Formats: sequence, structure tokens, C-alpha cells
Amino acid sequence: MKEADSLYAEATRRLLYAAFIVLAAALVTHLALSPDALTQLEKAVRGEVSSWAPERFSDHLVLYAIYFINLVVPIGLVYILPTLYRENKAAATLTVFIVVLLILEILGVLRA
Amino acid sequence: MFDGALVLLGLFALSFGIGVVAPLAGVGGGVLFTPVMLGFTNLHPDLVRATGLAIACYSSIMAGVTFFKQRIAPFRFILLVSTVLLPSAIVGAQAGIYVTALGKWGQGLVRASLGVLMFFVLALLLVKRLDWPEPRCSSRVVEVLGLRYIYFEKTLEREVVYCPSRLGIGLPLLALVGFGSGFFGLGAAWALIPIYNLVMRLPLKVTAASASASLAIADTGALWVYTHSEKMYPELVITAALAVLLGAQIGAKLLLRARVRFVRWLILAIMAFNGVQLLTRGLAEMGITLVRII
Repeated sequence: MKEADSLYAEATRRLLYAAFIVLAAALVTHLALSPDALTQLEKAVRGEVSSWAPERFSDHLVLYAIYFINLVVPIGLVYILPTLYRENKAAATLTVFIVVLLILEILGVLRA
Repeated sequence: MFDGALVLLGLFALSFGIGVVAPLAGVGGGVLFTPVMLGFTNLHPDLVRATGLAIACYSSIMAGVTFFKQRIAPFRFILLVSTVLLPSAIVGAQAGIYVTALGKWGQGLVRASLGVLMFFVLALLLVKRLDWPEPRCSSRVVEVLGLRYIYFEKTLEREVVYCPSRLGIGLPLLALVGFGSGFFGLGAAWALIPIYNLVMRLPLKVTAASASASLAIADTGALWVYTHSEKMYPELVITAALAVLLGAQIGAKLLLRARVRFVRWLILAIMAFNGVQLLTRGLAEMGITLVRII
């Protein structure tokens, strides 16, 4: 049976490569569907944009792609939790702390 | 529209170039990306830092894939340090966004402090490291978490025993590193290596692998701060992150083949210039000095 570190490496590798493909596809789709996306980028490079929020469908597409890659680590940690619990209960407790903190941050609970 | 396409292409080329040269200087792409972009472009600091953080985070996940599989980076140790790095990176990211929201003065403060930090990075890159520090594995934490590791070192033709020592000093120092990573949107292997090697007494090979893989968890948390605060610019994040990661693959291969001593010193000199430039620009934005280089 594989140990927790190998399982984590395998899970994050697969998720990360899938996320890279999703990111690239989302970017291309976003640029194709939003004619003003490049104009907005020009503005951002000139320093005229300080934040970005989704407005259209294609904006949400690209945002969800970023959400996906930002979820690689939490998913990997949750995936290995049972194995880690069998290996070392103290390390599993640390992982639960980390996962809870990440979930609170993802849900926006920790916003100052 | 056409100009926008050129901007996107230029951004990709610049990020790719940073990705290629960063390994030659012995740093991660995130460490070069943020100062260069903050120093030489007009992009808003929040957007740059979110992108730099994304680069550092995704690079660290990639490093973890390799080093956890090869068992060079101790996974339970990374979990332990992440319990300190993660909350401090989240606080750092929130503090960073708060400071830039203060306006021109806050943005100047970020640039100036990053300029000072660049010299600290350079100093730490020059610190001498220990190949095989003597481990002290008597800590209760080491025992409970099973942090005493053994691996066979080919170059020595013997087994090497190691464990993290002096956790009472090392872990608080890591809180500073996590804060800095979230605040500046930087990778932090340059700071983690001396802490792991000289303070926590991990062997150099383990140190280098652990430092590369350490920030994945912490920077994921900090990235969500920037995402929720609408400071992530998708074209910027996706283009730059993919380009830097692609460039870093080539840079790592070049590192094995090319004679990089001259290139390394050249990049370190550019980092020093970048530090001066960030400092003068930041101080000028804060209204403290009028002199500004570029």
C-alpha cells in the first residue's frame, strides 16, 4: 500500500496538469468570447486597473479555472487524510488543522 | 485590440525569460517576477503580487510532486511547518492588500520595503551552508510526529540520519517567512534554506527539496485572500504563471548543461539594481525623496 507522501504527490500531479490544461483552455475561450479583454489588459498594464471582478459568462469560466488550480492542494490533503491517520495520528491532526484553515479561507470566513 | 495582443505576447515573453534565468541565479521564478514587475512596470502592486504568489505556489506544488515521490522532502515535516507558514501567509496577504489600499504612499511602502528585502535575499544567497549538520533528535515533537528520517546517501556510501532540531527558534522564524511571502507575493526558498539548514539542521539536499516544496500549502491560503479581494487579474495570472513554469523547466535543464557562473553573477547584479530601483521609486512615491532611478 502506498504511503501518504506518495499518494499526495500522485494526486497533486494529476490535478495540477489537469488544472494547467483547464487554465490554458479557459484563457483562450475568454479571449475569444470577450473582445475587450485585451483592451482591459492594456489598461491594467498602464496601471489603470487595480481589481478585477467577473461580469460575463466567459469571465466566470476563467475565474472557475483559477478556483480549480487553487483547490489542488486542499483536495490532495483531504484525499490522503485516511492514509495519514493510519500512519501517524499526530500528523493527521496537523493536516485537519491545515484543511480547516484552508476551507475557512476558501469560504471567505477569514476575511479581515 | 492589436496592441492588447502585443501586450499579452510581451507579458508571456518576459515571464518566460524570467522563468529561464531564475534557476540559473539559484532562485525561484516568483522571486524575480514580483520585483521586476513592481519595479519596471505600472501594473498595480496587488495584481503583481497575486501573480507572483500564484507562480510561487504552483512552482512549489510541482516541486512537491517530484520531491515527495522521491522521498527527498520529508512530508510530515512539511505539514508541521505549514501549520505556521499558512496562517502567517494569510495574515501577510491581508496586510499587503490593506497597505496598498492606503494609496500612493502604501504602494511606495511596498516597493521600498521590497527593495530592502532584495538586498536581504542577496545576502542570504551568499551565506555558507552546511552539507551534513549534526542532528539533535531529542525533541518530543520529533518523536510524536515521527520526524526522525534515514536515507542512503550515495556520495557518502552510508545511511544519513536527520531530524529537524531547534524547533523553538525555527518555527517562529518561519512565521516571518510566511508573512513576507503573503505580503510581497514572493516565493521564499531563499529564506527557508538557511532556516532549515543552519537553524533546524537538516542536510543540504533535504533542505533544498523541502524549501522548494514548503510553500504550496501556505501560498494556496494566501492566494485565496487575493482571489476573494478581486485582486487576481486572469490574463495576467494565467499567462505569467504558465510562461514562468514553462521557462523554469528550460532553465533547470540549462543549469545542468551551461557554465552558469557568469550568468548567476549577472542576474544577482540585476537583482541588486532592481533593489535600488524599487527602493528609490518607493521612497519617491512616499514623498520622502525626489530621486528616482527609472
